[in-house]
Amino acid sequence: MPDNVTDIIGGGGHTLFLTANGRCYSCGWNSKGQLGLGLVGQQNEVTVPKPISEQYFSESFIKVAAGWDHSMTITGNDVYTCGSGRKGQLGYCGPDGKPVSKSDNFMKAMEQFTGAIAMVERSKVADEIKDVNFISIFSDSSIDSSIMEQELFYLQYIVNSTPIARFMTSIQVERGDSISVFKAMQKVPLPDCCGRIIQVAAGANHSALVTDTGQLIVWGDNKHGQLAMDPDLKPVQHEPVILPEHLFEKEKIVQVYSGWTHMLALTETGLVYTWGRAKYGQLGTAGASDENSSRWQPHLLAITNPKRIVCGAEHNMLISDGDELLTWGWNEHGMCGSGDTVDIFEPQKIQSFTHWKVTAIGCGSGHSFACVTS
Amino acid sequence: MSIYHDEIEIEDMEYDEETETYYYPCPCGDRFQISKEELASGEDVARCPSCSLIIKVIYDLEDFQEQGEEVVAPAKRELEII
Repeated sequence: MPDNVTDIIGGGGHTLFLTANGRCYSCGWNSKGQLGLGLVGQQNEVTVPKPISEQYFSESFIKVAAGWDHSMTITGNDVYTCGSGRKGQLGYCGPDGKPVSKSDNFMKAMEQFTGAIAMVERSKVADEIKDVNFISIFSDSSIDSSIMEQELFYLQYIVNSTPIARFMTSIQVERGDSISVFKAMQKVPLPDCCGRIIQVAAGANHSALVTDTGQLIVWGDNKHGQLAMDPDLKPVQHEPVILPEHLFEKEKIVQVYSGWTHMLALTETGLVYTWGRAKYGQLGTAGASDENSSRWQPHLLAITNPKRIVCGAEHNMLISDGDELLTWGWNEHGMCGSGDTVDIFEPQKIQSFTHWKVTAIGCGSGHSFACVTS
Repeated sequence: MSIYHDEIEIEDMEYDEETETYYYPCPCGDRFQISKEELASGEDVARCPSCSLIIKVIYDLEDFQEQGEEVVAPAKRELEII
């Protein structure tokens, strides 16, 4: 198990652990390679946290984020992603964002795609791999003679993607197994003129970064305007793009938070902007509700200088500068803490917390918790 | 306001061969689901077992009717890039 964990982040079915010395561990679902471990074999689930290889990263990780089935890590200078890229959330999928055709061969797929899982037909394992220069049958003489008897293949592979993300490992599979190749964390090509990366957030199928120059960089699914771009014009954004500063009235962004399909940004002067899906009140700005179930243009929340903000899937919690706890959004499971299950369209104080000081808050997809002192 | 949480194309759902069911993530943390049999009968609403949200599945009914048993959803064996 990892030591000195400083942050734990949950995705749809996977968990990332960040340690004090900047290493990242992962466990849970790995069907899309969202654990960033570069595993080969039939390992769609990892039950014990494993370290993401640091061998080829030049710096330690400072923040991590997890979407439904993708993961992100930042080092300050760089951002790395892994997992599903189906909606462009990895920031480096093909221009059409679609998986390669199923008729494409294994090698072509590996050359062209990152964050990919490739499954090889049983009978093709040996032949295919001999032909691919970065994958070869491991033929160490000490084990060679026993390989055939035990019906085991030892595979060694090196994924040449970006120079910094070379990854090598070897695993054991039984003859006849399907083989899944997950690429390890890949570096995302960022736009020019962006500063050092200080914050990271992931929605269900989208990704966001904040730089120390106050810029917000986004990519991925924009079906509900969660990237602060018109979804009719840009339903999916495949490459990271810097949002124009006029969207935030030239305020510098210092922090970004993401729900399933909506986002919040905190500015240097303590303003909070929200945009994206509004169907359950998750934007917290009355007016953007029933008739207009999403709104891509950032609008200001009526609250300023929050001490802390967290997002669930479709709800939000906030600690105000007066230490009050406010919630808004989807409330079907009572996760807004209002005592009922009616969706809340504007930030609302939780009355039962009036006599307590809230010290920490957290949200799951459909539940919430708070730490308080009297 | 639409009664649906979302409208999702069948290609974006995940198919489980064992249960013959298509799944899609629900924001409550569970998954919307609809069986191949339901789809073949014309049902296009996938439900979440843990909450009230429902999604409309966009699919071509003919794909599920004409070929009957031969329908093979997203081929998993040969090569799949996700």
